[in-house]
Amino acid sequence: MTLFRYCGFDIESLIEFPELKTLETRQNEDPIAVERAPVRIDIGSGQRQGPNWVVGQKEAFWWLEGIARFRVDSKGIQVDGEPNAPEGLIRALTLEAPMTLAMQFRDAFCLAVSSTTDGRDVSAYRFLPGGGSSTAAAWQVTRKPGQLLFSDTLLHVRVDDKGQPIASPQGSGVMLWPRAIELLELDSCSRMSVRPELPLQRLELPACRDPLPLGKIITAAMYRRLQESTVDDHHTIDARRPFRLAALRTAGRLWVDAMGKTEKHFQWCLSIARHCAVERGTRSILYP
Amino acid sequence: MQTCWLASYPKSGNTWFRIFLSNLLFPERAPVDPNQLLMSNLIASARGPFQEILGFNSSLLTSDESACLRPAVDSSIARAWTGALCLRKAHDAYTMLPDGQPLMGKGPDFKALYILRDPWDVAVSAANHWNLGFEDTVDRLCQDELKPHRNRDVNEQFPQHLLSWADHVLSWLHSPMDVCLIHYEDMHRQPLATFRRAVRFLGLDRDDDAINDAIQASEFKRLQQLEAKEGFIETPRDGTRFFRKGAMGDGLSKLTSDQLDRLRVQRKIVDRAIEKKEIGQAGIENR
Repeated sequence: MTLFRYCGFDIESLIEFPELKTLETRQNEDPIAVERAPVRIDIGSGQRQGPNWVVGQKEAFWWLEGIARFRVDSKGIQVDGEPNAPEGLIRALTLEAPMTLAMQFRDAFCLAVSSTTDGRDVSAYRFLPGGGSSTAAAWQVTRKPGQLLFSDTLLHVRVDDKGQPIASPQGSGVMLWPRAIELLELDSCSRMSVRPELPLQRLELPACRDPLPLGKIITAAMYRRLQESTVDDHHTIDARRPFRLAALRTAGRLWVDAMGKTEKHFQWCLSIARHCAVERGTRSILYP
Repeated sequence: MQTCWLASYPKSGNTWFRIFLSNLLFPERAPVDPNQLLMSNLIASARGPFQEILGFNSSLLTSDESACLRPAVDSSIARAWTGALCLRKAHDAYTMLPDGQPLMGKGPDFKALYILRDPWDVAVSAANHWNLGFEDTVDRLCQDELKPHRNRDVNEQFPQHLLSWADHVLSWLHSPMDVCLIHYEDMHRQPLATFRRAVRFLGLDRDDDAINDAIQASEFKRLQQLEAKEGFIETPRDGTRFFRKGAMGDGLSKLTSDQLDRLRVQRKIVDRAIEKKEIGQAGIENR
């Protein structure tokens, strides 16, 4: 059994995660357990169903045909990988949807964003999926003095006693494609392949290890000529409405209702809306 | 809800049609700002809904794996659609997945409004959009194979399966769903009749005055002015225009005779299929 740190949670796992930092001792009492076990998808009443998931108030299933099935509850994650599926892919998937579900069962929500920090607070980059937010975060870290990586895909944000949103570092590096690695001249950086069929690499960049307040969310459509407006998902979003931004960009937001977490999620979005600025990304901000 | 694909080869009037439709559906807001269309901009190849519905980072998958999951995502989108009209932009050709299922679904859950534009004009417009020379663009329009995924990066859309220009058109006209074929050139020459037929196919109850008003509000010149002044979200990069000319026959004077010959072969394949009524019955019915 190995202890890892991910998104501010301890993971106690029988599966090795070379992409995560190991812990000598537990940092909190109730780690998320990850184990290999046969998983049979069980669709019960009261559960909500999607194309590759079933979510209820006590347990959830998430799967990718031919690759892996996962059962998730508040205690942890059971992983049932297909024999021929790439191990790196199964691990990467475990750290995405199943981990998001496990956190949600514990009333913990994540923004699906990349982020960096200057050591004081966290700036999150919210682009369309595939829009280059990982590259923007890596750019900040490699080209702007004093910037550290904070998250690549999931940014766990909790609300402290004063109602302030506090982000926890993801701790799994940044995934980049060859073009971005070349552009950022990161060829000599420590890295690992995510899966052998793809040139996608997970790179280890200088990263923050401590929780920090979430300061701002930067949205962008900056490579168009539009500097004054921004496109978010498939609707134009008013940047004065960060609540909507937090709600729309919650990782696994389709599962929130099914888990009975609507009110808690609402309060979470409200806290982000009250305390975080939303900025429109421009070239000068994103690519200094 | 039934999904209607607004299908076309790129640079064939798809965006123009959606601007028209926004003006038709929301006349009180006409002329609409193309940067804030009041109807969904959800293209078939978008990663956003894919990631949201399936719940994970799509860049972990190969392009084949993600293509196999797209039909399930499209069905989920249709089930959850709350608007009156589930019309979605598509540039993919109508192709089959490795398991034999169509990437873009079939009737009655899906139907398609297909916009066909003369390939020589597509080529000139696409060359500007793709930042390619005319020769490379014509090559691409005449290439039969699926364009291989570059595998060097990802962007906001999955790789689109275009096929050649002729195969793109025929793939949709042969597809097992209702298809209404409209010609880009007719959208210019006989706007009322052409847009009216499209509007009827979409099942919208709008009279000729309303259609005419929406056509006026969607004038190409106005879109060009707006793009020059404020920019447009789909403009590919600085120094180019999305609403370039919208002209008919531009390619005839810009391309070499060899390039035109190759595109005329493509055009002939399509014309012959339509004339011989080799295309799907629904396509013929709706011509």
